[in-house]
Amino acid sequence: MKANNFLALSAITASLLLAGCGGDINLTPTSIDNSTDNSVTNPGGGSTENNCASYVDDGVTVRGQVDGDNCVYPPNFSTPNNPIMTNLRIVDLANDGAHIFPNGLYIGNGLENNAANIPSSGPVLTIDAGATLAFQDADGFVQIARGSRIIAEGTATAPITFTSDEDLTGNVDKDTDRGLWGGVILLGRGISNKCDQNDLANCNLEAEGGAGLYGGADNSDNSGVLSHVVVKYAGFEVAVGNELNGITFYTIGDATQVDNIQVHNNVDDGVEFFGGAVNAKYVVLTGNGDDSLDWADGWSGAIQYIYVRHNESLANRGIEGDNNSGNFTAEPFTSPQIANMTIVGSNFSTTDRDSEGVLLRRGTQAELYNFVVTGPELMGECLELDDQATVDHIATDNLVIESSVIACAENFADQTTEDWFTAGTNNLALTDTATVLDGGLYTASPMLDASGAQVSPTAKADLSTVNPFFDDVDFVGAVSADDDWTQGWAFDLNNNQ
Amino acid sequence: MKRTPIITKHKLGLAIALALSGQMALAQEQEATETIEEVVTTGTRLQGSAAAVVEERKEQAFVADILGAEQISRTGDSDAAAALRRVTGLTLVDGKFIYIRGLGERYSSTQLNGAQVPSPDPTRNVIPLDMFPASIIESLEVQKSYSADKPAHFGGGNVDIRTKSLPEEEAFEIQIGTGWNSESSSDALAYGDSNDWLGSDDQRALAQPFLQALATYGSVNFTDIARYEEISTDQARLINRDLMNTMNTDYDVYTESVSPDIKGSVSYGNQFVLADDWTFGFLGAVDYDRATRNSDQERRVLGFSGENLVNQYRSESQISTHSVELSGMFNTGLEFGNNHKLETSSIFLRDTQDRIQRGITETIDTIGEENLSFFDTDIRYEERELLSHQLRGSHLFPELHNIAIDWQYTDATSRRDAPGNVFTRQGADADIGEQPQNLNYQRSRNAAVLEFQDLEDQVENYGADIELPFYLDGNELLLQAGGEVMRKARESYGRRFGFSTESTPLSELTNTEFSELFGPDSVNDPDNNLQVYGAPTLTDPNYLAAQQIEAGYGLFDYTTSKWRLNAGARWEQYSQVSAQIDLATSTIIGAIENTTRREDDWFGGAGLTYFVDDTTQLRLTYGKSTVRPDLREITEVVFIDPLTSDKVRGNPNLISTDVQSFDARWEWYGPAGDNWSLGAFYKDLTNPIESVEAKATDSDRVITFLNGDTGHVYGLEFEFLKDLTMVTDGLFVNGNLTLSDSEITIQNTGGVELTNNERRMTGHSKYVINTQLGYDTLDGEHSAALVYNVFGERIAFAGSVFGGRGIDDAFEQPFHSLDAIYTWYPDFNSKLRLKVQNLLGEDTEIMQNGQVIQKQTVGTSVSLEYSYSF
Repeated sequence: MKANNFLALSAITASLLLAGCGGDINLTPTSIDNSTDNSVTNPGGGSTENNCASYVDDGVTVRGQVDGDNCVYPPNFSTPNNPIMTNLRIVDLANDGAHIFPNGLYIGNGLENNAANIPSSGPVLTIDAGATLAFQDADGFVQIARGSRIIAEGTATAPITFTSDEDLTGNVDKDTDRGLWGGVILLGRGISNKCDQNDLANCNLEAEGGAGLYGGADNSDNSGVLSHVVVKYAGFEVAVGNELNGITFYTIGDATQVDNIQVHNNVDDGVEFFGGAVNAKYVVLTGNGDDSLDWADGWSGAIQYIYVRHNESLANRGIEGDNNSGNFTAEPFTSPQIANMTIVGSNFSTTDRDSEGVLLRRGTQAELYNFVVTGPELMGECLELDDQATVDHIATDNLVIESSVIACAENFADQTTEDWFTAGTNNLALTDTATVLDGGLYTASPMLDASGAQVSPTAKADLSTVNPFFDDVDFVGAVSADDDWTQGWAFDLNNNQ
Repeated sequence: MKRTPIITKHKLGLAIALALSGQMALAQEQEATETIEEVVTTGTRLQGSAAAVVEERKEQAFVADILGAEQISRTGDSDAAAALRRVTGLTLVDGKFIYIRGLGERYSSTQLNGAQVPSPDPTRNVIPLDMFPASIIESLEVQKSYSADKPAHFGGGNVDIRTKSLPEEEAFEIQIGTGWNSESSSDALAYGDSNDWLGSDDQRALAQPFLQALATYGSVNFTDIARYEEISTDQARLINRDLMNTMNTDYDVYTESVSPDIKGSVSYGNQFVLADDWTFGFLGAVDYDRATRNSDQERRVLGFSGENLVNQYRSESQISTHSVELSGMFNTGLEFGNNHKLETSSIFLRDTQDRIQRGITETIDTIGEENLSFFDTDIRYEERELLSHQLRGSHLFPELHNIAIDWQYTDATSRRDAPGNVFTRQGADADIGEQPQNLNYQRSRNAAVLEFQDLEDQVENYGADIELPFYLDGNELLLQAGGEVMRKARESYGRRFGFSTESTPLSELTNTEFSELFGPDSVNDPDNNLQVYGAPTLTDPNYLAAQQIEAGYGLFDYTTSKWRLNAGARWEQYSQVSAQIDLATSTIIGAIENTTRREDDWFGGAGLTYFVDDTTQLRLTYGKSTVRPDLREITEVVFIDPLTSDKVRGNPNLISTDVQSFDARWEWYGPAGDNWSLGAFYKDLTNPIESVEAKATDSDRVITFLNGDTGHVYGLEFEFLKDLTMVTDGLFVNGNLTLSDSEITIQNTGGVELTNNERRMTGHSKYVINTQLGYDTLDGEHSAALVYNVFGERIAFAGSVFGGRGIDDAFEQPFHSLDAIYTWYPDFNSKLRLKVQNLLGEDTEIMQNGQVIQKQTVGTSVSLEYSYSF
């Protein structure tokens, strides 16, 4: 593939015309793209049909170009300042062709700061099962603005992939490469405890890295569907000190459907929830450089079946949960419910950062059920409570851990944490030499403690009464060998390499 | 259509041309009033100086103060900013910016010889006044009420810096000096090139091959290299490492003892009679200052846990700043008779600051952990330069009813170049207040962050004034009209790179130096897997902007024996445009139409002076002016404020502030220079611009700008000079006191939730006191002064609501500044000056919710200067 998106030096002349005789100011940019190779060849004379996505703007059709099996989109296809304001469909290309975007893909106006101007039913990005979207610029990201939706419905046999275009060449290292492009950002109209609770409808919060505005009053907002979606090698720092998360859920409402998603080798967090109430089922987070699951600012959703695996090159926490960084007791409290989570740590360990398990702090509430947290010898503490405002929730039953197994060299950060865990129903503390997983993925059945004796964790009964979103299960951990929901679509797991 | 491109600079593929059509019928304003003659009332030094200032004021139609070169040199001030502290109601902030009447620097504007010049500091829209050494200053004129001959962008006041004009006779002066600060007893931090004598970078800038790579690949990321070259990523990583090896890595910080300050200046001027009536003269001056300052800083960021305050961030660090100030000036003048004069003035100023900050930081991730913190090193180097060329003339035509014409043309360029600024964060096995033993660089995409920023403003300013005097029965009427054109174009570029250690063995990251880890040996070792990353991002400060102001005015000044009335009106048209640039693709981001604005309006001022008797006069003035947002403030890019390290985001929806001012003033001028005055002022601001904190996600602190609804400032100014001969000969006291209050109303927006929607204006002090106790010996051989200055607490930044709980506004605490100056004049040609600053050893402090959130030591400075002149 010939690189054809870079403009040569001197490609632009911006003329600032300040016409003195009553005219308007005209700043006229003229692009002279003299490096573009317009002589696109279709090797083998393949398909003549242009399947690339297109939209009509002011009567002009903007469309990607066919390049071999791929579709290559022009640099001005969408930018944060000139987002796509109409529906867009991206199809699955034949012969594993990819849709290649020079920068990112921006749907709806992410910079709109006047709530009244946000459409209740904005543009919809539809991505067909099996499609691959690849991004060239490191700072390019996918942004779904408030009022807009993404409908990405892959299947177990035909997942949808978001990745760096470098990944298409097979030239990336699946263990060490990260941050080759930005990531996926969903901006919603749900509730954040950073907003003025008396004026939620007008709330505008700045996303990390200047990636748009979010916030609102509607925790049942609908941002679309993410199903069987894999996000790989993302997390580039898009602004000073701001790496992006693999998928960031900014105040996303619970009418949004999220299931079977994976974030692999992101620089920053795998998935992060800032406020909102979106739920998710079947989540895989592998090799992420910072925290795998992160939440803050009033998120009140639920997740069931979530598998986290750290790798040896870079990692931090399995969960980092906060309430609100500026006010630990801000309301509504962050109060997620997580069931059936497995966290497998690694030996990554430096003075200031290492692979750890679960950290709950800054006043977050949480209900944790059916956890399995384990890792090798050098993994840091597997369970930690920070800040009195967090610990205060134990007495009010707003901080709960039940039916969970911790098997680490350093299970608890301190006595308070240990007391909390021990007092919880059906919790089991083992050591790092216990056998709690089978092949690093499936919950071992039976589990063996360090001495080789069988131990039997008791799964939380009637989870569906805790939250109708939950299924009732009879196992702890994320994946049972009997029903491997990761089969087929998830990347780089032990079951299907 | 005639086109005059004033900028044709090509850089990184970008060019901006500012083309104009039509011609300006009107010309400008210029040398405000007449040239300022020195008025020295008595033979005493300090007292005479102070008295001369008030004598000048008596002659002004508006509330204005003028400091002449003589006064400045008598009081021993080293630069314009320090000298301006002597003026009523002025506050000096950071030793650089003037707050007039307790209002922030937004409300003061600066002119150089009557021309508008750009600010070399992109975070401010005014000129840092410490860049003008006293030796090149002829006079400083501070006007505190608006008159139509000044630019309409006028808030609390305007400072006109007039550089030295032609000498009356051959004049030579050489000055040398040295200085020391009490904080210098500890060693200073230093690195590689931090001791450059000229304050000119020859090490940090990106090398040509690196720039070439950026231009070719759009970034230096290995993925982009691989894509462009159609090579494997392994090969691309090798190219990336070669590029990394072209970058400066000489950033190992060490300590060294502090050398004393070095100061020196030389000036020489002369004049020659060329022929009958023709006189030619020139004046050249060079000034050099070099100093190192140490300071200890403590910082905290507060948050809430319920009712309780918690620390979210703490740091204790040492800051060493190596500064070099270099300036040069060359003026020429050609005079024909007494009525015609042509002058040129070229000024070069350079102010280089190399600041190294290092110390322990506790973030939310480490603050609760024992024996764990971060060891941060932050190196910021910036060169600020201003180069201004001016041609001006003044003409008097006695044969044509004494019409006087003044005109000027000024071309100025200012630049802030900040190459190779580096930040590293290392893990440390100690807590705050302890000495870390083992430091490890982070395994991270950004184990070291290198920043390169370059900003350039070009300003063209020209204009003319015409004056026509009439004499009617002993009364005097002066008609004045003029016009002005000001064009300013800005280019701003920023690039950031990260040294990635994502796959570097941990052993290599521990207990190592910067140059060892990131130097060629380490980079070339394939096992270390080092890479440099850096793609331009949408929020980098890459933008073009331009501004044009066209103005015309007319005014009259009518004087009788009993009163004087001065009134005028000014029309200004203001046009502005800005465009964000994507450096990777050399394209303009967004719709430029949305950033253009053009507005025109009428402004004006009127002043009435009533001469009660020979010793007393009463003044009333009114002014209508505006305060416009700076180019940067309306450009939607993120910028890091070098003073506060906060992210600052422009707001394209900002509108100009309308200002209406009312002044009343009672002035009494007595014998022996004794005088006092009492003034009252009231300012009404519509849509005042304030900086506020935007609601951002978690780790970010983002400052943005908002228009408030209304603002008011009002207060009293009292000023006095009292001869104390009755105590002892040559003793006197002078000073001034401003008591004022302000109020601003600012609404919350969806993204800004303020703790106090009604409060004082940011930066406003309720009181400002300046006093001087001066002593001159009768033989004129010695003079001494004690100078005391204090300002009341002022809002450093406004508090915001976090999760329903509002944190208080943060207040900078009063700083009691006491200085002593002694000068000995052994003979007619030489003098020796000893100056001690901050005798009380005060520190700067910012408090919030009853807690000190920032504290920085200042130390006591001593300096000694000797000068010889003939």
